[in-house]
Amino acid sequence: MTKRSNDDDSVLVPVELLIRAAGNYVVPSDNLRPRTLEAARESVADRAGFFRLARLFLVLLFCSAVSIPALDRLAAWHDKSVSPSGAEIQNQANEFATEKGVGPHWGLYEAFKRLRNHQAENLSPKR
Amino acid sequence: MKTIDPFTEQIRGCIECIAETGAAGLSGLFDLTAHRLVRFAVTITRNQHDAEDAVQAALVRVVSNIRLVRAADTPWPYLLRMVRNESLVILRKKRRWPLVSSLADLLTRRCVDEVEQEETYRAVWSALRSLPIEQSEVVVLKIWEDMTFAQIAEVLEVPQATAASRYRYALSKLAGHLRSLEQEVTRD
Repeated sequence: MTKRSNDDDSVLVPVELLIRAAGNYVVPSDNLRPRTLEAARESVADRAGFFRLARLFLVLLFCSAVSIPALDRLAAWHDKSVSPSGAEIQNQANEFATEKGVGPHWGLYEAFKRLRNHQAENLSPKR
Repeated sequence: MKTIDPFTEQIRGCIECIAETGAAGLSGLFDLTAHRLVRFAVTITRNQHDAEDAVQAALVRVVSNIRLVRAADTPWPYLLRMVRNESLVILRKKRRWPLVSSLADLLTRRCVDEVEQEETYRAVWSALRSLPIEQSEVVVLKIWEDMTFAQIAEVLEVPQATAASRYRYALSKLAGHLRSLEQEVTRD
């Protein structure tokens, strides 16, 4: 852009010379430089902050997408794996003893046997 | 063979610097181009404060969109176009305000050996402000930026013939305006 163009069919006329000479008359204000550099720095920082937030949001989205089904499966497995309380075992033992006319020790043995079978069934891999 | 002028090379260097160092690299581009960008923007906004705002916005945009600027074949016309767009945005917002014809807003440089020329310079700037923006921007690009009509057409996004005819109209108007001012001065 420093070379004079060829498509101007005449040499510089006086008006052009006058205008050319006045080109450096107007100058930028002293505070324009620091103002512009500061604005650019702020703009870069804002963009970096925005991208950080966006990345965080994506990571959270990914984590929730992965963890929600995993938690669901865990909860289902947890429901299956919860053992009955001591009182429930005792009740089952009493019921079995009354039903079959056997002693409470035998009833307790049978209740535990059923519980073990039930747990083994739940924990065994499904085909 | 395509020749690349030193100014374009310097701008490319500054753009590479911004691409590497971010906002810290903007100072080089500012020092190289601010004066020329501001005087171009002043001819569009007709107000130095608005012109500086436009230049600031354009340079900030350069930093945030450095990949686009870097990919431009001709970075200087691209930069001028960015400043022009920002200036037009500012101008559009302020359309309702009357355009000031005085030069009170301008920040000028007064060299000791150019004191006598000051009146002429003021007359030139005043005459430029009397032109429609479409014409004054062509004059600025042609005379101060030494651009060809093809390059001006690229910056202003108009046909080359339009740029040339705007320039001719503008120059004849400026000649008349400056002649009448000269006569006034001689009479005084």
